Amino acid sequence: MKIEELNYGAVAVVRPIGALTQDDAERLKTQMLEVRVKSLGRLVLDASNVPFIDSRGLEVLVEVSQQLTQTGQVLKIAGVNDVLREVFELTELTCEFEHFTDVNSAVRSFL
Amino acid sequence: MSPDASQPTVRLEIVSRPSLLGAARALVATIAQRCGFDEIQCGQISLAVDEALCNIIRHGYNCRDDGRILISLSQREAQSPGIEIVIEDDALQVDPDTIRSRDLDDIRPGGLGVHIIREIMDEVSYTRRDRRGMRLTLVKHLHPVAAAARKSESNT
Repeated sequence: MKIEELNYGAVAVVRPIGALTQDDAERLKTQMLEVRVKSLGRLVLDASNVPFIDSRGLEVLVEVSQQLTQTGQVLKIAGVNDVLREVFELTELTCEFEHFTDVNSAVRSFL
Repeated sequence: MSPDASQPTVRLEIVSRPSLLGAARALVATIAQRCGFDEIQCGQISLAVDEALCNIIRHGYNCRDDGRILISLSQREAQSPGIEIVIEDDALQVDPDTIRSRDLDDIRPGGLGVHIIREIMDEVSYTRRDRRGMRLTLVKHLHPVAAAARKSESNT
């Protein structure tokens, strides 16, 4: 899985490309936690290029979200497809995150 | 295999290597699609199989990468159309009663996979194989409307 990092002003966007599973999930967690520190928590996960997520991928997102919650922030996720949305729902994790249809909406929510 | 599981049966044998899970998911999604499931359901069924395979690799084979895993997929017809997936391994045997999903309020590594499998599939059955290893049987029924549409397509 490739992981891109983009900056929209003061907001950092992390964009994984590919299935979010097992070892790749660990890598994403490390990168997101680094970006979280650099961006002072102004972090968006662009999931528009993630076709598949497994339980480890979900756990990693929850772990990052919990780190953000400690500083009163929430993990913003943009571009979740129908398959991922169903997985969030059946694991009752939808409300753990703030969802946006696209990256621009998620970035604007910091303004 | 259940009595109404019909041909064709597809069998895939892989070693317990995480890098092979993508191929297994793709095969499962393709067969599920042929059984009449929609795109979201195909994604869910392949997720359930992926979670089962991850559990075998992690807990059954303790992350060893030379264990054998056999995946058999059958299209079910008769009274309850759908798909039946049987996953067999030669790994450690465990008491099926101890395999349970975790409380969703407690998100930490492990256990979420079993919850996902049970949420997605209509029937989930863990049994010990005769000499060694475990057998997991997963069944997903096709919604009656989709089953009727599929039957109509195959008649034309």
